[in-house]
Amino acid sequence: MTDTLLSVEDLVVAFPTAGGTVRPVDGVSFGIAPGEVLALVGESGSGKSMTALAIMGLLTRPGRIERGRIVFDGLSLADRSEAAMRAIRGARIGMIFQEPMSSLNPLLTIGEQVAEPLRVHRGLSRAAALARAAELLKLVEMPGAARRLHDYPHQFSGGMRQRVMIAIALACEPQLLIADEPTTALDVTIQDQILGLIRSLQRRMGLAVLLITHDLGVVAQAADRALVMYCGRIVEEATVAEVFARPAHPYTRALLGSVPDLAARTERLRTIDGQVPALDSLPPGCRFAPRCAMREAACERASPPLFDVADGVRAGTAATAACHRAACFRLHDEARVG
Amino acid sequence: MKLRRYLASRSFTVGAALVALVLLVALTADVVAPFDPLKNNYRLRLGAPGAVHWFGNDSYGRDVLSRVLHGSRLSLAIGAAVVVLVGVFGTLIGALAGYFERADNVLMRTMDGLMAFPPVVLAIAIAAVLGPSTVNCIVALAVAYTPRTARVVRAAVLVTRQSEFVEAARAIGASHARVLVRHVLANSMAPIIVQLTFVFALAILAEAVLSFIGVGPRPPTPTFGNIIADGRNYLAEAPWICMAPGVAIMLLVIGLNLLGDGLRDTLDPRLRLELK
Repeated sequence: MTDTLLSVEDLVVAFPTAGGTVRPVDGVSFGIAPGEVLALVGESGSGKSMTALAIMGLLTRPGRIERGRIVFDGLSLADRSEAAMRAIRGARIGMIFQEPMSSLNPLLTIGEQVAEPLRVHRGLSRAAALARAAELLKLVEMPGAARRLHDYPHQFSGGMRQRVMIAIALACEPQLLIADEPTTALDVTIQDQILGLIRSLQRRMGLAVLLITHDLGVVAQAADRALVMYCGRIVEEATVAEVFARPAHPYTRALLGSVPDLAARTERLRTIDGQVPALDSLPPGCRFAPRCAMREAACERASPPLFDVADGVRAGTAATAACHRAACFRLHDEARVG
Repeated sequence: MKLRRYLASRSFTVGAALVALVLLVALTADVVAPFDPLKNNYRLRLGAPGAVHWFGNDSYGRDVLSRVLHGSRLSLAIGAAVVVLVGVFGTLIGALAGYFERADNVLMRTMDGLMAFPPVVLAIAIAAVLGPSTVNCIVALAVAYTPRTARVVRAAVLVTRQSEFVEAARAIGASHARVLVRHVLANSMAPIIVQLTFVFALAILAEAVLSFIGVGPRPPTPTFGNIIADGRNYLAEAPWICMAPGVAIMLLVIGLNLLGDGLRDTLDPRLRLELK
């Protein structure tokens, strides 16, 4: 890849537990180009949020990065000290969370909270930071921004609070925004507004966004490229158009297949059989094999690497940003047969 | 925070009124007290309550009412000093233990060690070793009551630490100190305030105990405990000597406990639901 803002290589996050070490993120690699919106899609527990926390250096003990490299704008993050990470968090990488209702400190005014990163990172005075906070609230299209500076979080609706969170995350003009399920807790119309806002700010500021979601609708609306995660591994990587037009991995296909089609009359919604395996009892081969309609003997023996979907040749490091890859042996076989 | 919300709690209103009454008396003792609390008058030795000496006279003929009024000062001052010390050290230890996992075991096992002794017994032992004086009495009581407060603070911090806004504060690059003070502690104040109200009451009771057995502030300085200690030898002939400070302690401690209950009800609606 020529131009990469953030690159994650072979990231493994490990949590030692009484029953042995579990790895919610197990060998994840991807890159984000400047100004790109990359969606990380997967079910709860697939390791999306863990990946984000690992990038931010916010894994809670005893979780830790066991292996892998995280390089952000030429800086290695995985082995950085807490103090050095602090200089990056909030200043060069902003983050917004799922629950706007509980992500704001109930005792501080909105203005103080938007001003906080400016005071921490830029050492602005209280007055200067508050003035900038008013501008930021205007930037996130908060009605009556300056007036609302001295209001408390409980005086805001969920959608407005998420706007505040975005203002906080963007206060120091970061290069990367990590949005962890930013619209999951909001109702659909507000969801649409917030995604539109993120998208427009992203274009205006040339921001790269790592958009974590389980909602394929969000992916379609807001992302350029998508990574599909399952059980701590990336199973498919492609542009959003490709994912929706030609999903290659059986899991991606099943996910898309379970989205109800409003045009067609269907009696039952389609589901994926079985359950996501627990992290301490993962199948030995492909992690999706037990639930896969197309599984073969090989799937239960070894874990498939990512294959290039176009020609079925195993992808090397020379892959381009636009490539479409999926981790399924069938792709390899198709290429051999065809 | 609306005053009306607090006044809706009956225990808060009654408790606050009682505490305010004692506070008022302590502040105005110089003006209100009819006699000098230290002046002996052997002609009035063990005099019964009457029109002039409302609560009678003690074994040196001193006016019991004046002694109780003045005694409330030192008792309250000791209670307040203990609250401040316990508030500072209990919050510091509890906050560090609750926030930093590495510090938790060392700090809390030390607190557990101190908690192995009943607080009053521990305070008596410390005061006895340090010698009887007002300052030593305060130190002893602070050491005795800090562990329980640290435990309450730690529990509150453990809960608040899990909040999403704490993670969000970390995500903007705030330092641990900033997160702990501005986000975690600020949102854990309700149980701490309530706990400190109870510590106030307990400290006043315990001060009386220390004075009573002679390891508190030195006589003739009146404190509730000193007055009772003076009067215990004449309990049969002159019960009024112990009665007045006893009733004063009771009113103050009841007031503080009610105040604490009321504060808890108002500051923590979840607790109220569980209790009812």
